[in-house]
Amino acid sequence: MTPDKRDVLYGSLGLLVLKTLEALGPLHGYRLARRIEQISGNQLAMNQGTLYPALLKLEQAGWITSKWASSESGRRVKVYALTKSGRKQIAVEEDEWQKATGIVGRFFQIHLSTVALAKAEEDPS
Amino acid sequence: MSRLRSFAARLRALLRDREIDRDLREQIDAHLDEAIDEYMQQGLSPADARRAALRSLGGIARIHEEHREMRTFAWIEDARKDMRYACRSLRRAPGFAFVAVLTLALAIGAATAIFSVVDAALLRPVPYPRPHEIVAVTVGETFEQRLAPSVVDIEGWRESTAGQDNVFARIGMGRLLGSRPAIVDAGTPERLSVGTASVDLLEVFGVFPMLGRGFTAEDERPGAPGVVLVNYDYWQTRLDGAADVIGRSILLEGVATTIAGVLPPGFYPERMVWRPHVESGPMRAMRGTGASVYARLRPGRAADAVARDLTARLATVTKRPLRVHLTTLYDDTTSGYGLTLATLSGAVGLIMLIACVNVAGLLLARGATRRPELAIRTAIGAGRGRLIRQLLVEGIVLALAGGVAGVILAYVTLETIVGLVPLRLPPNVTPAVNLQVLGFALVVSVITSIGFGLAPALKLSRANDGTHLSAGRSRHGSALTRRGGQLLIVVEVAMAVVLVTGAALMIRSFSRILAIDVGFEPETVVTMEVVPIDGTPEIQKGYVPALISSVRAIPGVAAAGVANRAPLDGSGSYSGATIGDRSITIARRSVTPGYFEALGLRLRQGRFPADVDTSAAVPFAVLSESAARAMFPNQVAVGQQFVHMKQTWTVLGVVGDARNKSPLVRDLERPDVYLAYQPDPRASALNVVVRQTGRIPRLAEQLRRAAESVGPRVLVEPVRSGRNLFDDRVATPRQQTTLLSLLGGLGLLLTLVGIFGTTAYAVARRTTEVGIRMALGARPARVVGTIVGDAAWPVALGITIGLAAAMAASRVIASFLFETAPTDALTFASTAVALAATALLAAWIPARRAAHVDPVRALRAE
Repeated sequence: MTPDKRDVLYGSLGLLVLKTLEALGPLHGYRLARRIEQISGNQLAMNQGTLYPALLKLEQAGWITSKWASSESGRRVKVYALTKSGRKQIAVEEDEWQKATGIVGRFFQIHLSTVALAKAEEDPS
Repeated sequence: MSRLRSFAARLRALLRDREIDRDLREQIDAHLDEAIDEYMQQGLSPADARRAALRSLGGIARIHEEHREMRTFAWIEDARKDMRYACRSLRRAPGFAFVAVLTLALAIGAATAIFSVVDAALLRPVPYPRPHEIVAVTVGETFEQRLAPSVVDIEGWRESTAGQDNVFARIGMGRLLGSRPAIVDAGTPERLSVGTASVDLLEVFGVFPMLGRGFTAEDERPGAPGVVLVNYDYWQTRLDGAADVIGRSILLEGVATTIAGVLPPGFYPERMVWRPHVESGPMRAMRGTGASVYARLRPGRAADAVARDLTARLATVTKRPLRVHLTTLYDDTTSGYGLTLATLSGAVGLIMLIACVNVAGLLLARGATRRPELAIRTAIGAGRGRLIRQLLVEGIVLALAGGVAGVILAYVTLETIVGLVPLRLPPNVTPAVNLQVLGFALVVSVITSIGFGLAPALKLSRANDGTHLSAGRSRHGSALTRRGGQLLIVVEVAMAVVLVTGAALMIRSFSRILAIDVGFEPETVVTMEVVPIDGTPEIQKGYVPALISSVRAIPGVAAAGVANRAPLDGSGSYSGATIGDRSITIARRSVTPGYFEALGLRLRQGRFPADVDTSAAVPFAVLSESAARAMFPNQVAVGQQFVHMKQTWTVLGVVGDARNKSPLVRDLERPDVYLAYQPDPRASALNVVVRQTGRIPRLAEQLRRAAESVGPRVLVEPVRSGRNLFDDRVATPRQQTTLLSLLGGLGLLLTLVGIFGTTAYAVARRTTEVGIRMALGARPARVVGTIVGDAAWPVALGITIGLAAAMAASRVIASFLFETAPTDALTFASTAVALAATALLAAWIPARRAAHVDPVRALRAE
C-alpha cells in the first residue's frame, strides 16, 4: 500500500488519456490503451489494466464521459469521450506540467553562483 | 468543483457497487477479446494470443481491487474488509463472543431502556405545536409563591395593552381528583374525571376539536345552557364514534348538557369530559384556587419582557407587590424529573463502565492467543495503525452485536421498566423504542466499543516482534498481566459498591416505610366508595344510616362507619377552628360513629361516639392527640367546645395521632379533627370503612349488595383493602427501590462475571506455574488459596474505594430516602460484606480448577 506512488502514476496517466482523447476523439478502453502505447513510441511499458481505475477517476471528476457502443469488430464496448470541463482540465494540467518541468529544469542548470546567491539571501548578516 | 463532483460520484458508487463491478468485468472481457484479435492478426496461435493479451493487461484481480478502492473511499473498503475479518475471528471464539456480547447487551439494553424514558420525559414532553411559546403563568409576592392568577387578573390583562401580546386560558387542574360527575348516557351512569377548561385553553395549546366547536365566551356566562366537550376516548367508547353526536344531550351531575365538540386523541386522555370554566362572585377575584393558567406568547416575544409587562399592569390595579412568573410549558412539565433521571442515568453509566471494563479484560485475556496472528500480520507489512484499526473494528462488531441484542432486550422489557420508573410522565407521551432511541443505542454502542477496545488495541498492537511468532500458542507475555487483571477487579468492584450501596439504602429505607405505624391497622380495614347518583342532602340523610346498618348486618363485620374521604387517600381539607379567642388550622374529616372502631384508631381520652350521638343538639367532635394539645393546652379536652364553620362542636374523645393523609406525611402543623358527619350538598363520595373479623368470604360482593339494596341509585367504586391504600401512597418509593435494586443487581452480576473471567484466565495463564508448585509438593488447597488471594487484595481495595465513592454519591439520593441517612453505617457495612463474599466466591469457583492441574501435563504443555 503505497498510495503516493500510485497517485503520481495515475496523475500522469490521466493527462495522457485526456490528451489522447482530445487528439483522436472518442475511444474504447482497448483502443485507448493501444493508442497511448503507440503515441509513446511503445516506450511506455504500462499494464493496460491500470487504465481502468484511471478512467474511473477521470469520469468521476467529470472530465470524460462514457457510453456503451459497438466496436469496429462489433463487440459491446464502453466508449470514452472528452467533456468540456475535461478540455479545460487539459489546459490546467499542461500548465502545471510545464511549471513542474520548469522547476526540475532549473535544478539541472544549477551552478555555484546561484547557490552563493541563495546563501546570501538566507543570512543577510 | 470537480472534487465535489467526484465526492458525489463516489457516494453514488457506494450504492451501485455490484453494477459497477459487472460493468468493469464486461469492459475487461471486451478488452481481452480485442487484444486477442489483434495478436492473432499478427500471426499468434489463439492460445499464445490469449497469453499475450493477459500479460499486457496485467493482473485482473488487482485491477478490480484498485478500481474498487478508487471508486468509493479507501477507508470504507478497508472497514469492510476489517469487518469481515472481525466476524470471522469472533466466530472462531464463540465462548468469548457470547460472554462479551451478553455483557454489552445487558448494559446497552439498560441504557437504552432508561434513555427511552429520558426521551419521553425530556426530549418530547410537550406534544403541541410551537411548544416554546406556551408558558405557565403564576403570580406571587415572593419568588416561592406561585399562585394561579384570578379570573379578574386575566380579564384585566386581556383588555389592556400588556395582554395584547398573549392569549390567556385557565384550566381547572384542581377539579381532577374532587370531581364527582355522574354522567348518564344510554342509561349507564358512571363516574369519570371531568376537566374544566376556559375558552382559550385549546387555542393556547394549539388543539382543535375534531368535531363541533370549542367553548365560547357565551358558555362561561353564569346561567348559560350547559355544554361539554368530550374526548376522543369517550366518543369512541361511550358514543360509538358516531358522527352526529354534536348537539346530543348527556347528563352531567344530573343536569342535561349538550355535547358541543369532540377533542382529538391524546389531549389529557384521562379527562373524558370537559366543562366550561364558569366562575362567579368572589371566586372570580381569588388567586390560586388549584387552577393552572397557561398562555401562548405571540411569536418572537420573550417571556421575561412579557412577565414585566404583565407585572406592570397588575401594579395598576393592586397595591400588593405581586410579580408575574412565566415558566415555559417544557420547564413546567419537566421540573420534577431532574433528580430521578440523573440518578438513573448515573446508575446506568456505572453499569456501562463495568461492562466496558469487563469486555476490555476479556479482550486483553484473549489477546494472548491473538499475539501470534498479530505478529504474522506485522511481519507481512501491516503497520501499527492498521492493527489498531483492525482491533477497534473487532470491538465495534462486538459492540454492535451487543447493541442489537440490547435494543431487543430494551424493547421487550420496556413496559416493565417504564412501570418501575418513579416519574409521572405527561400522559400523552409514552416511552417507546423510536428512531431517537435507536440512534442513541447506536452511538452508545460505538462509544462503548472505543471504551473497552482502545486500551487492548493499543496494548496488543505494540511490540509485535519476532518473539511472538515463535511463541506459538503459549500464554506467556499475555496482554492481561497479573497486575492488569487486579486493576480491572479494583475498578469493577469499586463501581459495583457504589451501585449496590445505592440499592441497599433504598431497600433499607423502604423497609422503614413498610414498618411505619400509621396510627391504625390498615391490614384489617376494607374501604368502599359509594356515590349516590342524585346526591341531595335529603337523600344522604336517609341513606347514610341505612347504608351503615346494612353493612354492619354482614356476618363477620366487626365495625363499620362512613367518612367523607378514605383513609390514606393522599389529600386533606384544611380550615380554621376557633377556641375562645384563638384560632388554629385543622385537617378536618367528617365521620359517622363506628368509623373509629372500624379503622382501629386508638382511644386516649373520653369515648368513641355512639349512634345516639348523631342526634345530639351540639354535634360531636373527636380530636387527635396533637389537636387536643394545640387547641386545649394543659386542659382536659373532653367536654370542651370550639367553633368551626360557624358551628359549635363538643369534644367527645381524643384518639392517637394517625397519618390519615399518607404514611409518609406526619402533619403536626395541621392536626386532625374528626367531626360528626353532616349531609353536604357538595359532598362527593361516601367512604365506607369496615373492619372484619377473620376473612369474610366474598366480602366485596356482599358490601356492594349492601350498598345497592337500601336506597337510592348509587355507584359503587371498587372495594379496596387498607393495604391497597397504603401501597398507593408508597408507590413511588417502591418503584425507586425496585428500579435501583435491579440496576444495582445488574452491576453486581456484571462485576462478578468480570472477577470470574479474570480469575479463570489467571488460572489458565498460571497452569505451568501451578504444575511446578504441585510437582514440588504444594497442596492443592494452598494453590487455590494463592489464586483466590490474588483476587482478594484488589477486591478489598475496590470495596474501600467504592465505599468512599458511595459516601459522596449517596447524597444524591438522600431525598429519596425515608428516615435513612445516606451514609447509614449498617447499610454500608452489609454492602461491603456482601460484596466481599460474592466476589471471593466468583474468584474461588474458577480457582478450584487449579487444584486439579496434573503437574505432568502442565509441564509438558510448555
